[in-house]
Amino acid sequence: MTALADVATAGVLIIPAVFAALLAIIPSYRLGAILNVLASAATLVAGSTLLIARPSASLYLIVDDFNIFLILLNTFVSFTTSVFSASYISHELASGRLSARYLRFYHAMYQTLMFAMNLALLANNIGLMWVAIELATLTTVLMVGIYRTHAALEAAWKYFILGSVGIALALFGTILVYLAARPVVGQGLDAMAWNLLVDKAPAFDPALLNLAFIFLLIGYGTKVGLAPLHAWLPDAHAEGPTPVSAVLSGLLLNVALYALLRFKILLTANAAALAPGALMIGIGLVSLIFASLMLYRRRDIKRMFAYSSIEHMGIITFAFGMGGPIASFAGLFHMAMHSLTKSAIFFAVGHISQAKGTQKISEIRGLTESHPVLGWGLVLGVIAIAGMPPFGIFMSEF
Amino acid sequence: MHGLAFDVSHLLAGGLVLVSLMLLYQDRLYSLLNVFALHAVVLSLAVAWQAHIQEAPHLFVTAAIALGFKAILIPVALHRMVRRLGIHRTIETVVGIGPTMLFGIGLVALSIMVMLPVTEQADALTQEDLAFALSVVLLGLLMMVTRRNAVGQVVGFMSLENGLILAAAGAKGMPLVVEISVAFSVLIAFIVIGIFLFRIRERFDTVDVQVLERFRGEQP
Repeated sequence: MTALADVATAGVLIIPAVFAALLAIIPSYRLGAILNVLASAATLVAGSTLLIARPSASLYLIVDDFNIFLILLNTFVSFTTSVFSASYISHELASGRLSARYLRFYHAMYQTLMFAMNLALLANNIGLMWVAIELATLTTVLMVGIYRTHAALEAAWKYFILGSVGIALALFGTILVYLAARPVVGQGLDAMAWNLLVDKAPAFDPALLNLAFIFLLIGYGTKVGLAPLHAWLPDAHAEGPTPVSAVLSGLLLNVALYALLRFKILLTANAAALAPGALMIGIGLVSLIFASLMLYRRRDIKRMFAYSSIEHMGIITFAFGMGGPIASFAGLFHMAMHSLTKSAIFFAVGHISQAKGTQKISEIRGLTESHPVLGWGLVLGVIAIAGMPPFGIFMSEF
Repeated sequence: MHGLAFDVSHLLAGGLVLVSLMLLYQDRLYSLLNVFALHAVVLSLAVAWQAHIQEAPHLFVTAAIALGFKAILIPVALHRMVRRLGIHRTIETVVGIGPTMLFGIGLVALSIMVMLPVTEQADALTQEDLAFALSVVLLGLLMMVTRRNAVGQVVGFMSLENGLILAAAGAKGMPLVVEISVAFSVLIAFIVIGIFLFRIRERFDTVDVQVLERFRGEQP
């Protein structure tokens, strides 16, 4: 049983890493796309195996109730996205927006991103998790800028600068957490492992933890796209290739939020530290209100859904900020539903903008006549993301 | 001996903050890069001293990376890049130098006021190091805000990372994983930035970030 678990853990990490290297040297984009799908499928299988066989926590990696569901979600959406991207990419090649060389690069980056996100979710070490999130940021920067247009470059540059500053601040917070843990847990790797930190958290110095959490909230909050620091998000979503928008919105935001939540658990365990809930409720509500105002009168369809992502992240942060079993369950559920629905919407939007040759909302019309499946698919998706019954988001928002 | 150890590390960390302030008022790209090289040299000295007094040999690796990579390789490469691009030698700052300096001094005071009471339990050495590191981080942020030029922003970002490394070195017994990865990620970050600078040049004929702002999907 443990052998199986070890193989599965290794599989979730090693499959994307190996395929990233492999895809980088395979010149044919068709083969690349197929291999991309295969690799994602294999990772999904490995991820699901973790459900039945769970490895014990080591100093670097951990699988517990919280992250196992995110790993599953992550591998599943990355699989569906790779299928979508295979068809999307061939169309882009036909229309001449991307060349075969960039595609090779794109596929390699895609698997690297999967590796980084799975590593961030599995990490039992706050330093390792930070490195993984940094790697994920760098790969997405490269993918957002892949079209080489003015707008894409601006979006990538903005994302890069804001993202790296956020990540730098998060590292400072991570160092402070280590300092707070050191007197209690002892020097070395132990003081960076989640499972040990959570056990000993009540004895930490509350003042240091408070300061650390502020840095972490701002740092990882930038990556989540919370309100004052969201500026990169709409640009990066609108200008990158649509599969990347789907992965960014559906997965990367979740991973950053997961990191933030881990630290929130630490703070909640320490009675003397300030309550993280109030801060998270505040920042979540600000994002929610801001994004819903910005949703009004958007002209670019992908940009509109990017703001909708900010809004949903705000709702989730708000839910976790309230704490309590029901709110936390709603938050987790909403994370899952948002990932699935939003990536589905981006798939539809990707095909629609290719079919119509534009991303402007005003020029996309008559879809249910010309492409009935796409049109009605988008209608269903929008109803779902707006929180109407009978879809999952209604359940969690309710 | 203890007094000396403390004094030297205090001197070096304080020196790093001073060089950070110097970075703020450089208005030529070449001198900016030279001061940044000095910044990295001071950092590597500070880290090496930490390695010596903590008897942590792995920190010497970090110091060597800081010296070889940040003090020599990056400034040389950026020098070349600036020459090849032939970009204007003067840096346009958004705010004047006087207000920027005052603001910078305010930030240093702020970080000392924040860090000292919070880290009371730690020993004096860690305390001072962290306060200085936070000032360097904040000054790096300030620099990124006040520069319009992409090269200037990049230098600001790297000085910010230097502050982080100082903090990591000051935290006693922090495992090697983090330091190597920080250095490594700077490497990656630099490659990315390099590619970016070239592409910006290709597309816009300038490295002035202001020009990038022209396109927005937000306008009707």
